[in-house]
Amino acid sequence: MKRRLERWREAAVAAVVLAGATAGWTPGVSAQGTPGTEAFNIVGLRMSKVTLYRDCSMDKGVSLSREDLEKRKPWRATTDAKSAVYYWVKMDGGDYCVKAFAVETDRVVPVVKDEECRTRVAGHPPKTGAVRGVGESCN
Amino acid sequence: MSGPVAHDGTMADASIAVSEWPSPSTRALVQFVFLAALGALLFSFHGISLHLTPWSQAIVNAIVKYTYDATGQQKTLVVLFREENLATLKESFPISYARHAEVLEALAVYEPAAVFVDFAFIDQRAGQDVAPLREAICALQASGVAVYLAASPLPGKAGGDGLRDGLDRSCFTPVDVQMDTEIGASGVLTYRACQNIAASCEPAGLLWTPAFAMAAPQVGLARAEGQQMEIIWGNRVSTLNESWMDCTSDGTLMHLRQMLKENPLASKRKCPHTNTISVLHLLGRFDQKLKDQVVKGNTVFYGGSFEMAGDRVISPVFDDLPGVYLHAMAYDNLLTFRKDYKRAEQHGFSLSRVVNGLLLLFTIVLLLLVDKPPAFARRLLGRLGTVSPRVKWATLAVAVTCVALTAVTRTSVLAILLLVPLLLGVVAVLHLAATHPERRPSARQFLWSGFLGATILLGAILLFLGVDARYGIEAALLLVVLPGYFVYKALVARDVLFVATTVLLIGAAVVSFLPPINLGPRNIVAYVAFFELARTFMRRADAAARRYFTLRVEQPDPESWGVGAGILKTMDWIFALCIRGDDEEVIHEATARAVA
Repeated sequence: MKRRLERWREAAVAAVVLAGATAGWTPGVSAQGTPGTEAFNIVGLRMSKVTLYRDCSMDKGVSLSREDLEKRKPWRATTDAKSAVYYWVKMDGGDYCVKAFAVETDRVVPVVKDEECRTRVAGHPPKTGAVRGVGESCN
Repeated sequence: MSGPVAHDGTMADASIAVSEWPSPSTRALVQFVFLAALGALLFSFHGISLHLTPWSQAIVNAIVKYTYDATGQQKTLVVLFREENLATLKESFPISYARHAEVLEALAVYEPAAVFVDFAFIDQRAGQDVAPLREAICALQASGVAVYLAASPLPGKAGGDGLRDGLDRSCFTPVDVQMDTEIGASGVLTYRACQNIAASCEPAGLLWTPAFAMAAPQVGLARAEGQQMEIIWGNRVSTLNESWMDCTSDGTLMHLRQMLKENPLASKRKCPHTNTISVLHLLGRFDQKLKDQVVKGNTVFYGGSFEMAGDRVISPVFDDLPGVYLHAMAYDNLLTFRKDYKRAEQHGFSLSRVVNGLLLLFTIVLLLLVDKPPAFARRLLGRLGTVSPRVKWATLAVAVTCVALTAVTRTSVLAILLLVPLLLGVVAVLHLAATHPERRPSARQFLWSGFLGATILLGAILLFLGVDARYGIEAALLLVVLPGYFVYKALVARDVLFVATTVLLIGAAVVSFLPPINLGPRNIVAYVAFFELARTFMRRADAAARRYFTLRVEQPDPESWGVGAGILKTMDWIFALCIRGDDEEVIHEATARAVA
């Protein structure tokens, strides 16, 4: 009887925690709900394995497989207001970024504006008498 | 033997030792040798020899714009890592292995057929593990994509390709990325097939250049067939590039100003011909349309564009471009022309030199015939006028049939077909030059020509502005400036021979461009300029010689010339060489007829 009560109590706590976590990912109340971000679901990976970066730090990579994703679906994600290259996801209580090209989403994620707009590829760069990097940290 | 005629039509005085003067054939021979030497000097060493002068190149650009096929453009993509992308991606120069690996992973998602990485991984980098890059390269290759890596051109590096250790050589093909030097104002016009440009690419150990390595299997090009290429810089519009790049040109008035102040190449195109995306496009949201229409099954050239890092290529069409575009353009050429890609000039005796020599020879022969043709040439080529009309019509029919066949059929011997009408044209022009000497215009014609000249100039300027504004400077050059000059020469200067010569030179350039000759564009402007300059020079020399002999008749005494008799005799001989034509023979014939 006591064991059964403990199980009920654990289940209730887990339900409250999960509900809270889910509420935290609803659009508009997201922790990453900065203006200009969009929320959507990640529904698949375009590669067999994708690396997630904790706090978007390249030296804190965690590998995620298709099987891992299946366990987390539907997996809520948001766009990064500063870069179109990464999406943000929550995993095990931490904020991770994932490469945008590597995941499939449940809808087309809009791009506010192409960051490369009105770029000039051909041109006349200033001619210099030095090479990039030479002379740095000589002391 | 008689002496040359004086400018007033009378013969030089018999007191001048005419018997020791050069005969008409000797004069023609010496003039031929002189012009040949002058041409060789100008074309082989400097001046107009700078391969393609800006004007010639501008005309070539205009023709290429409307004739270059889209085959290569549709199958080629440049992925560019730009200077500004470093900050966006929180990267630094040189780009980390991890970032390169990320780009290659993204490319794998888009499923190209082949990828060339225009970054050379030569040195060990402290604090950076090469493993992610190695794995990304091998994963890309495992997914069915052929991977090519830029090899080091530095001698003495281990492994043959000069690349660092830690890379799995079984996952990629190293390629030679040495760039040929720029040619005059035109920029880089040639592209080597392999490391060795002097000899064959046949030895298996020689690295191919990226374009040849990637295109050879597709076009069935064997190692033995790998010869240095003359790049045709395509300048088709790329809608992909226009969707995100700033492609606005300098404007019509600026074009005109730059063309008059410098040359037509001073204002170049701002957007490359090769389809391009940046790494931000690639690493951002997956784009199914981009995959289906631009990347899937195509060849990707992944390169960089960074400040103070070198690796820029100067082309005759575009403002300076990142070096990766050179490889992409060469690959584009190979897909477009396949085995008939245009062969570059080669050292020593080559087909290219033979064609140049023939063009020069034709120009010189014409120079000797125009204005004052020698009597033997008049006799020889005048016989053509006696050919029966049937033969003439049959010849014309053959020429027209050959031209029609080249327009309709697709054969590997197009040049041979066109050679027939070209040679017939050469004979016709030589006949015209030898039998129709220049006529002096009447007073009425003189005034009319002046009015016509001014009208043509004004009309050409207005048309240039209109066409340039709507279709660009290349079209304005091709459709206005060139025809305008032709019309001027034909109607105002009444120099039909110039027009005929130019048309034949253009025809010869077309013939040498087509298979199986497959040479790059010829510098027609240089030949025409040579023709005009040498013609003016010969007229002046002829006039000076006639003036000299007039003075000699008036003042035959060596003392009045202030030199000895021997020197004056030599001077007579030298000036006699400058006399053109041989009117004296005509006079002799007339005298003989009169006596009879």
